[in-house]
Amino acid sequence: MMFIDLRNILKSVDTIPFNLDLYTLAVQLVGQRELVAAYVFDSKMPFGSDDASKRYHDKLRYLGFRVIARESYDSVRQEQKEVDVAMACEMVVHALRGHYDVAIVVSGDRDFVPAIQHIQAAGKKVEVAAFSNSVGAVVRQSADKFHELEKMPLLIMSNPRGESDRLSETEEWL
Amino acid sequence: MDFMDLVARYNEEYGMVDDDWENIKKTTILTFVEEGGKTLSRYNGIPVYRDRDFEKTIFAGETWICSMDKSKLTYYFAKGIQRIDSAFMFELKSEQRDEIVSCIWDKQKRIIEPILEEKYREVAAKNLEQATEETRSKYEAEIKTLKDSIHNLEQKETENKQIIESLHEKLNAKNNDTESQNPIPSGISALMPFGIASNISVKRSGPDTIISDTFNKSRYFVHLSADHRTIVIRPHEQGNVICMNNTIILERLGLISPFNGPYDMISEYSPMYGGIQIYL
Repeated sequence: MMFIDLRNILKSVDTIPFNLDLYTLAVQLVGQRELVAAYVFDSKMPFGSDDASKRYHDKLRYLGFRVIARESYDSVRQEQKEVDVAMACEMVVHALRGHYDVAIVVSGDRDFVPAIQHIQAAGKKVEVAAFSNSVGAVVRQSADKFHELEKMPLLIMSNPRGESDRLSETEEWL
Repeated sequence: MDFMDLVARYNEEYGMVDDDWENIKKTTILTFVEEGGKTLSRYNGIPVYRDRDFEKTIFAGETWICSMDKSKLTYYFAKGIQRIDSAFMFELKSEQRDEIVSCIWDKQKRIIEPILEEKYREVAAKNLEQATEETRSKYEAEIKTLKDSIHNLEQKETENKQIIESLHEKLNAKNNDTESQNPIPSGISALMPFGIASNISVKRSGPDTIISDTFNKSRYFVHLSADHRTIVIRPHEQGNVICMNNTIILERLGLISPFNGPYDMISEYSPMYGGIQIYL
């Protein structure tokens, strides 16, 4: 089962002029294994407000991701709330219910270390995937396996005219 | 129904002793004003001053239910029983409120009606304006989406036309030169998906341009690693990168890997990624 902390992972590539392909990311990380579910955690604006991320979330849902978007985006401080805890809860609950054997955590956030340890204590394996610029030694060490995302071909290239690609909305709302 | 009528009705309905009735007769509703530097009200033209105990309680501009001392002939004194204000109105039972409203409506209909009409018009106009604005913005958003769709479709159509043209050219070239071509051994093509030959040769012919005989499909997905060391090119019918004449042009390739003249790129077929892996 895969758990993606969307803001954390997109923040790592926000200086690169290419969009991250989450679908390819999931395919490459899962490999030949059976994917039970791929969760994407993000925040969204309150109902009724003009939320540019909604289209992106819909697109991810169309691709098969289970998007959990919490109405907790603080537009003044430009940061999201609740999302990390929501993701940690989901990871631990699924582990304790025996829904998966391996959790693939796509985030370099150190806040997930306690949740990772609980999952491991429940007899499950945890793989962490993150970009090196956003992950610390503690997270690397806590994981059973670490995937260096910067070595994986995940950024979408296109023709010069910039045809509509699958995830071209990313730039619009970042 | 005036205040005394109301009192009389309650007297009939609930019964009162004579003392009560005497007290009630002294009771009336007064609105106090500032007159010649003094706070007073008038009852049948006779000035009614505040009782000395109520000088710090009753003020000009307020309306009170008062008990009047009528012992003097030319002026009266009033003791406040209950100030009539919004709080007092809200504390009343709904039936009592209805009665008051009905009484006010009967007596002041001429004054209140135009005010209500104006208020109604204002609210209606505001609601109408809001609804119009919402509808307009909704339709504008829909129009924008449709325009985007039309633009995308037109772009796709242009691309597809170019692809068809390119394929026609290829077909003609093949028809003209069938005999000179070396057929790919069936064993290799079975092993290599997408018809990729075992010897992959990819050339960098320009800052953003790569050429290979293996680029024989019309659409590809092209992904770059974040460390800018690897490119994977995968054929896919919904790919966002168009290939024409075995040539793929990639935006910003020249930025991530400087071009110093044409050269052969290190490349191989990657079973893991299911495509051609090129090392920059």
